[in-house]
Amino acid sequence: MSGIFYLALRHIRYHALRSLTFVLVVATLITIPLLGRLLTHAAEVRMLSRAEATPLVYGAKGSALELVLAGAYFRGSLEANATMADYRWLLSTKLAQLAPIHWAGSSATYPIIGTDIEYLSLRSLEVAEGRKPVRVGEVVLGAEVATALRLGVGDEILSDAEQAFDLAGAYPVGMTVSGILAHSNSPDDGAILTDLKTSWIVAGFGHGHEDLSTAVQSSILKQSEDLVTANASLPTHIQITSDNLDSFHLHGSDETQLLTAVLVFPDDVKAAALIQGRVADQRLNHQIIRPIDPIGVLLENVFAVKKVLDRVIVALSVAALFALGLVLALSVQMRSREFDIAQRLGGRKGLPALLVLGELSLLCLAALAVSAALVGVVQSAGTEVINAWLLEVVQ
Amino acid sequence: MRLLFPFLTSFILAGTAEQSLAADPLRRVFVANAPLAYFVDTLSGGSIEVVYPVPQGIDPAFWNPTPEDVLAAQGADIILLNGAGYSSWAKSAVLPRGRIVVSAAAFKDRLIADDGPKHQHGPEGAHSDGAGMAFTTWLDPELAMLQLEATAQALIEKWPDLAAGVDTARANIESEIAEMDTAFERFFARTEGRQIITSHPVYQYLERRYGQSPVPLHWEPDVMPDQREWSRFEALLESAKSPLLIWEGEPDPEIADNLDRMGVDWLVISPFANASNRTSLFSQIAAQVSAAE
Repeated sequence: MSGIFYLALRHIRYHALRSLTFVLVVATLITIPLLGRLLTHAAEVRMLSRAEATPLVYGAKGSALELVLAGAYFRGSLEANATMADYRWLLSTKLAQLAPIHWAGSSATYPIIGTDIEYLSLRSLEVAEGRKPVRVGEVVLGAEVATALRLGVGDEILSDAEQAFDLAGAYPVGMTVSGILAHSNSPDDGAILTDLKTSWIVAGFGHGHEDLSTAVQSSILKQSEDLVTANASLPTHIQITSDNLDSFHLHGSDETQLLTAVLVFPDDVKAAALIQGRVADQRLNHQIIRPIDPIGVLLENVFAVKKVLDRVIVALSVAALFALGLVLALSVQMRSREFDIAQRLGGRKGLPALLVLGELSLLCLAALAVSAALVGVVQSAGTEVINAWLLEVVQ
Repeated sequence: MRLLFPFLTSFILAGTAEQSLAADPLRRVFVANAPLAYFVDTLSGGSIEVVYPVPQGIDPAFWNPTPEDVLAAQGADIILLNGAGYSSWAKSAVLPRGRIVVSAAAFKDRLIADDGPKHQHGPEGAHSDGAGMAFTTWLDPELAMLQLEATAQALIEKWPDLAAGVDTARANIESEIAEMDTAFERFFARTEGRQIITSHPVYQYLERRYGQSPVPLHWEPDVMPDQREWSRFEALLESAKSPLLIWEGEPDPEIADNLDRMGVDWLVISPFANASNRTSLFSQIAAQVSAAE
């Protein structure tokens, strides 16, 4: 039997290019459905686990999916339409622990998420290096952000200029990295987390400037006993440090500050039902939803599309297999003289078939190896990217 | 003339905070000043770990915590703040909002504005950057009672098993506050008609409660006023009828000698904002006022 495989191997090596083509075609036929199954499963697990870990999301009425994607997955472009008054109202129900979410902007495309320090414990996020933020202007980075931006504890991070040509727009704000989160295999890995006050400053809802009572006279437009009005020459800080911290303040009252969503973690099932009922009764312009519902619908749609794609792939695979069969048949026909010589040299009657089967076995084994390698590579590094792409696609 | 005896100061400084051996380290309350620490200690019967990291010699209203202090606050079950602009550090600190209890929240409308400049930009109109409120609220017995009530409610809400003990201890503290009220009423009745001067503007709630209109200085007990300040003080004395100077802390002997030479009566009424000995804190305040008789 080893002689058969020796001859098959020699033949494969002699026709290296043709054999390689065969291996790649078969590997592709095996890999595509496998990858499809793997990625959709990974996406399903990842998205469902986040949805299950977020019992309820509160926000302005509108698309439930957009609210969930913005509040729990930090994706999309939902405008902040809830306020701190909503958060205080939810807090007053004493039925749940809360994590307000404010999407302030981005830094190098990674989202800057303003929240309450309670968020870290509600999500069981551990600080792997450094410490939690303790003052305005400090951030903790998700593991993926720290690696991608090569930032460590004590480094500075600058928010992206949202409106480069808007002279009245918010300045980019410099913040300090106080800590880096341990990898959590969740959207938090790709987020920059900070306190709400910092995020409101980043979004332009607050700013810092020099003490007007000691400001240079050229900056003062008018001054009365209890009011000082300054002109636009008053310098605006872009770096929040411990030295200028006290000069930062927010416009408007705390209650009117904006939130993108509020994550609600009820104390128990009864509390969840009560809070949903109260929102429905008392907050007519808002909604509270179970993320699992819109995410379930989203995944159903994704899987419906996948089923169609699966059928297309099956049809293409059948066509490809017919083509391969044809090539194989032609190859056997072309090798009839070779098989005839082998018979004359004393080869067994079934030798040609054994030779072809041996070659096919070796080529299919090679295709399986290539396919396994591809799946392994994608599984180790590519699912996150594909999942992120998937989220972008569905928005 | 010296109206307050040195033993009171030593009484304030010598003791240690009452701490029960039974304090449960899993139940932590971070507090902003000594009166609130006293409330929690007493209401819980020492069964709660009180986190109060303000070092001695520093006014808790203007204390700046280290990152470790803020992390300690983040780890507490309740963060009990005074309110009225006290603990200005909390404005820029990262704290879990759901665990913050502001003991003065129930009487926001009764706070006294401490005038400071405002500024204006954009359509939002004028706003102040902070502070702007008188904050020694607990010197008004009525407000102290409300702060006590807020503290008791927060403890019971968080740990319902403490309810019975809290109610009993609360009655005891209310008696102490009533004792302080009586002491102040007697003191101001006795000093009626005299011009009261305060070393610092920290007695606003006390003044309002007992209908006083003192003239505030900006003198520190341990910093000798310069010649200009002494001259202003002398000018003030010329128009003042039988002046009485109230210090928030024991003045340096040199300052006290100067006042004695000028024939100015003075006494110390400490708000006990950072008292190390918090045993019967409101009785201590009453005692220092009564001792001036």
